[in-house]
Amino acid sequence: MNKLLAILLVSLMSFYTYSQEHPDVGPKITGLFSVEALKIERPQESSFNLNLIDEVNCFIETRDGDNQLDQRINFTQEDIDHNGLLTIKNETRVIKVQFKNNDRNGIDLVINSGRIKGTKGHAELSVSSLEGIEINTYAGHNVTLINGLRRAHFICE
Amino acid sequence: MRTHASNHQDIGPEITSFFEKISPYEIISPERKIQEINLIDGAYCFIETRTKEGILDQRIHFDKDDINHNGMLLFHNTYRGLRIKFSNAENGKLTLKMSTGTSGGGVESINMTVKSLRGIKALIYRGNHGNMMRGFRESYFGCYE
Repeated sequence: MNKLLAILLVSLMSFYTYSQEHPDVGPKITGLFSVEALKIERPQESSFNLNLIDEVNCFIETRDGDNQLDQRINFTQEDIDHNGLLTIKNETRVIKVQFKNNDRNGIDLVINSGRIKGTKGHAELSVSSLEGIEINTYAGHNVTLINGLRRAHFICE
Repeated sequence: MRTHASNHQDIGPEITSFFEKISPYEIISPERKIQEINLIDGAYCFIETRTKEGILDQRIHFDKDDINHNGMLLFHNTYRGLRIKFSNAENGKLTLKMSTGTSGGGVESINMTVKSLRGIKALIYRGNHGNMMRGFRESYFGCYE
């Protein structure tokens, strides 16, 4: 029981440390028009048995074409629905990450991002650890070309 | 490395379609090789092509000696080029930019940074190699556990 409490305490401390290092921020970059923030679509029923996720701190970042950070959104297993889908969106753009356990105790990721009614970026991979991974995909233009390109970065540390 | 090499030989192309086999992917051997690149020496990696149903058509292993001095690994067959650009990232990480396409045709790409290559598998391309008669091939970058 004491061991369990110690593990829980260490996990909470780790998560707190990560959150302190990489807090949610933004949107920071203002174009000619303001950009609506991307938000996690909270699932009615959360996922509870995905591999690897609980071992790391993961977040999505959007960056402009010059790699300047616009927005960072941390997420946990509770933000992933019971079908393994994480959805982050605003009125014009959406980032979807499909998580699925694989038979090697790893996890498969399918990332789709871009404008809701336009071009999408796509990335698909299997990993045996999420630690230190960063995957970049196209995240569409914000509302208009004037507001500029955004790329989506899926990051775990 | 030796164990992996004996367990996992280069194979294929194995699948014969309507007319013939798809021309095999081959590594373009570099004239000058890369000296310093993170993670590659500790990994054993390959490119695979598979059909839409996941049946293995070809697997080509590569190592550091196949990467040129600019960090570029190049494969080609008659119809397609496939390139992976390796560059060192901070804290011993490795950045990979993988792309494939035909001259004058569409290009697909995936970019990522990793702390370890072990057990990773990424889809680079899902489309046709050659023509519709020869069927779809998915191209993957992978490294063994």
